[in-house]
Amino acid sequence: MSPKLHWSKTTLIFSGLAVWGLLLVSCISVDRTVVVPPHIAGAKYVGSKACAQCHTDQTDHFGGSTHSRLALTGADPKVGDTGCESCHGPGSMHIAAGGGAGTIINPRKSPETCFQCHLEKRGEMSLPHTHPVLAGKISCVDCHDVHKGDSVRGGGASLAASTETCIRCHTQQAGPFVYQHGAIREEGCVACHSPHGSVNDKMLVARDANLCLRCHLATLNPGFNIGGYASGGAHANAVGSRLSEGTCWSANCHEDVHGSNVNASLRP
Amino acid sequence: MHTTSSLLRIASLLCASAALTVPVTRLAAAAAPAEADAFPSYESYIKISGESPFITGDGAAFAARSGVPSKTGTYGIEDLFVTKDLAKDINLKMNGHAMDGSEDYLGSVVISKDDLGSVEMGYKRYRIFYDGVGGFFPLTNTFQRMSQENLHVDRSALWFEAKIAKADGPSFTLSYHNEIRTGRKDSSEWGAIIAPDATVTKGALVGNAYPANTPFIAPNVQNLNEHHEIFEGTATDTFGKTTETLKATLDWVRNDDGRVYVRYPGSIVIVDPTVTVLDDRETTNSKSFRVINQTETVFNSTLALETGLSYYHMTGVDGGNWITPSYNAGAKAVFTTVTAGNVFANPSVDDYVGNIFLKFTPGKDWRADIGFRDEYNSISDSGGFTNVTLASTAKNTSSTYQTTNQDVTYSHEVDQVQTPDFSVQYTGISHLCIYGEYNDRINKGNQHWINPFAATSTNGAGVVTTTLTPLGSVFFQGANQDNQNAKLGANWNPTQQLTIRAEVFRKDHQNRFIGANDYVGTASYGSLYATGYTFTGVTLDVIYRPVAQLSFNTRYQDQGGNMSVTANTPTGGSGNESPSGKATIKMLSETVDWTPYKQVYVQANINVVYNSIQTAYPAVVVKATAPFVQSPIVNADNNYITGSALCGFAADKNTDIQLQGFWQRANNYNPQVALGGIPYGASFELSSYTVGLKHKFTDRIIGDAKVGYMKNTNTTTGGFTNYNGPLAYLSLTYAL
Repeated sequence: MSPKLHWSKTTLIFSGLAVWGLLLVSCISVDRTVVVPPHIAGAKYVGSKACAQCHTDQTDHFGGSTHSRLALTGADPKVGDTGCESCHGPGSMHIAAGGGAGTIINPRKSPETCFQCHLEKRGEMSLPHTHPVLAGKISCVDCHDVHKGDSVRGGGASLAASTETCIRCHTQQAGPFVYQHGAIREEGCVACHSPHGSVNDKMLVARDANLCLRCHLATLNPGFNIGGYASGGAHANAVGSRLSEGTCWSANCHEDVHGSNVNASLRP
Repeated sequence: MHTTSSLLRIASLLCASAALTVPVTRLAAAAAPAEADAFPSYESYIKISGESPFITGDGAAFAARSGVPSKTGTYGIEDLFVTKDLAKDINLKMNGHAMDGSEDYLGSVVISKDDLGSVEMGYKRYRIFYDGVGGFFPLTNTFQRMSQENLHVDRSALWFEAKIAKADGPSFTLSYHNEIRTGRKDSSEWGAIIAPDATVTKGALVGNAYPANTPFIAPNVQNLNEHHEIFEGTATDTFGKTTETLKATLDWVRNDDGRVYVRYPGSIVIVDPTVTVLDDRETTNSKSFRVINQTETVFNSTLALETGLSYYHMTGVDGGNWITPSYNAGAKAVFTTVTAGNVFANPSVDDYVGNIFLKFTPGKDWRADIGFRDEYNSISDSGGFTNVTLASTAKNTSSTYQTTNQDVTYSHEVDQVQTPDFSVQYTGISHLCIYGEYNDRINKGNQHWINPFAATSTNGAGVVTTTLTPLGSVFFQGANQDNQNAKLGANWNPTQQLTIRAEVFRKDHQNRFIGANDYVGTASYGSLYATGYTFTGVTLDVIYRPVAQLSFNTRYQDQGGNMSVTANTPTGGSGNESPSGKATIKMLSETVDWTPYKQVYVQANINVVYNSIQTAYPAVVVKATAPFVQSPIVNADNNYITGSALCGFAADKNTDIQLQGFWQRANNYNPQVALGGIPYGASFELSSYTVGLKHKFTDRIIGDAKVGYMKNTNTTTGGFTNYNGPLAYLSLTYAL
């Protein structure tokens, strides 16, 4: 019952011609400016000082933020000497209306603003395995602080820990466990996951044993080295062994990759 | 058996298509008024919409990718926003949506009063779909689905917040969040990798019996039932030159998750998809308390001081079970022996953090921050299991046939982390910002594990509990971590037409763990495990706008790093530092914005990504004779290309047309390697094309119609998750 479309070269040519014809007619017959998303139609730049009149929560600490480096005097209009408006769009209509959501760009509603500079994130966010940002279910600012301090939370000498951003939602992986996975302790979740998107399931940096072998060239116990020394044990020979058959965390082996309460090798 | 739903979906496609013809018929009569804004932004509005897919192929894969169920589509209130002045200084804002099918709901209300504060409450829920891919095995052209059900997880949150914020006075905020995550999702255990009638030895197919070490990897899914409640109170006040913030948080986590097999391990054909076997269950019940005090003192225009103190305490009770069934030779009948275990743990965490930042602004062009963070983190835990094994000769489940073992490990982990942090920014040169950052995380920690039990004993004659013996094993190690991060960058706008940004970074992380194992009465030996990596990279941005109507935005990122490991050798001695891995990432992104006429805009972008991880194993060599595949541990390639184009133009006074195309391709799959194990490398291609029309019916009503076509092919899954078909979308926005 579902209709099926068959795309032929002729279909594409005629469709293209039709669209091109429409476009030509449009240019000839219509004298109206089309607004490129995510811009605000008819608005003009007013400068950051105007924003600070009402939004002191955001502007007071902006000077020390990562994004403050973009707010240069006399800069490109796209970046602007208008720090706030480089992301929120020109604010004249917002001010004229006395505020309001419909007269200013809110990057929380759409990541398009962020993609204007973070070009590669558009591609990453459209990969099969990603957080639902493009679907509008979460936004960039759920994980990033754009108005204060480091955009990536938990960096440097800030109070927060590097994993706090992730475990706010992923509580089961927070631990602690009797046996912690050292990778989380040191690098945080991004040691194994690409939070902006990946071609691999679960946003993994790699979908196979390479993910683990980056750091686990050898295990602690003699006789259980992974490859290399071939001294016996489950990992002795990469060829024809369990290592070749699956990934390290499958097959009920090191299944509890985030941490285990019963086994030092992160078995369940 | 097509239902009303199908008819409605087809009707929506026809309506959307019909709507697209409107501007064509009106073009001849189109006037040419000089109007800048055909589509006003409404302060209060409601947007009702529906989206119907007509997908042929794998609906689960489509739902996972698009967030829209393939059979029902999604429809409802896409957006509702109301803002209203209830009184002169009291404002009401309502925001919401309710989309059936995609199960996406939001409702929030904020009432604010000038110079007093606000009250907010809301509820949101959304659904994530999963495709349930259990693996594709090219040897037998077999595809395994983890579940016959539609897998999805719902996230919901209920919140309440009250804020009192008087001008020139203290502010108080009190909030409560109740977040729930429930549902069933796939796991990354992809399924049995070897067909029942074939085996792989040294990469070659030989015989048709199970290999001795067949792992019986079974597709499984995860049941999630997670609850998270957060109470938070914040008070902020200014005393002289100092602003102080005090925040207290109570956090309660209650999770009950489990992994469930949905088929028999080792079987290729799903014998009975309704049969499920619990693999393991993990429960968490933790309560934590955190109090944070932060101050900011502005001494003068050149010097400010920020301090922070944080204390965190958490106690938890973890539990769970695991069941390890054994199977008969055919791996299709009920298990003959079962091992069941009760897992427990009682973690306790105390974490103290303090930080300080001195912020210098010696002149209008300089800014320098010097920071230091000190953390003491202590984690105590005791975890283990009580394990009951049913004898293979058991005639019933009475204790006569059970053997009970128990085990417990006491652990204590301490991290003492100091992190100096330095950043500087200079803007003294016109149109130029130069900045640099450096921080070094230094941890001098230690870890202890004590397991008082000796090896477990068994006695098939009856109940046997492993008796406590003198210390079974003791393990301790010192942790010595030195993780340095440095960044240097510049942002330069030499002209209105050109912006150049460049940033280089280097990470040098070294982690060294030295300790000793002591198996009482058996053996003692030292242990060494050191991992490290160095990563360097550069990001280069160029924004070039030769004319006002055209801009090119280019970003190039090049990152590379090496990882190394030092550990014991097989004979117990200390080995040399060995390179264990190498990673290379190169990303080129380009966005072009072009407005050839004010009635037309064009946007196009492309991302080309080369991403490869090589570990210390030989690259695959595929041969014509056995062994066909020398080593399955080949590089992990994660390359892909994404491209999209968007063109919009005014069709008449009140109508815009938008054309959109999207294409994405990854080609990393190696079917030869897949013969020897889990298929490595993801390969897929997705394309979609959309024609959209936006029309202003009146000053208060705007309609939007789109029809499109989407096609997805997936080589990694053998084509079993392919789908294609048209899509239709229709919406109506009404200004309130």
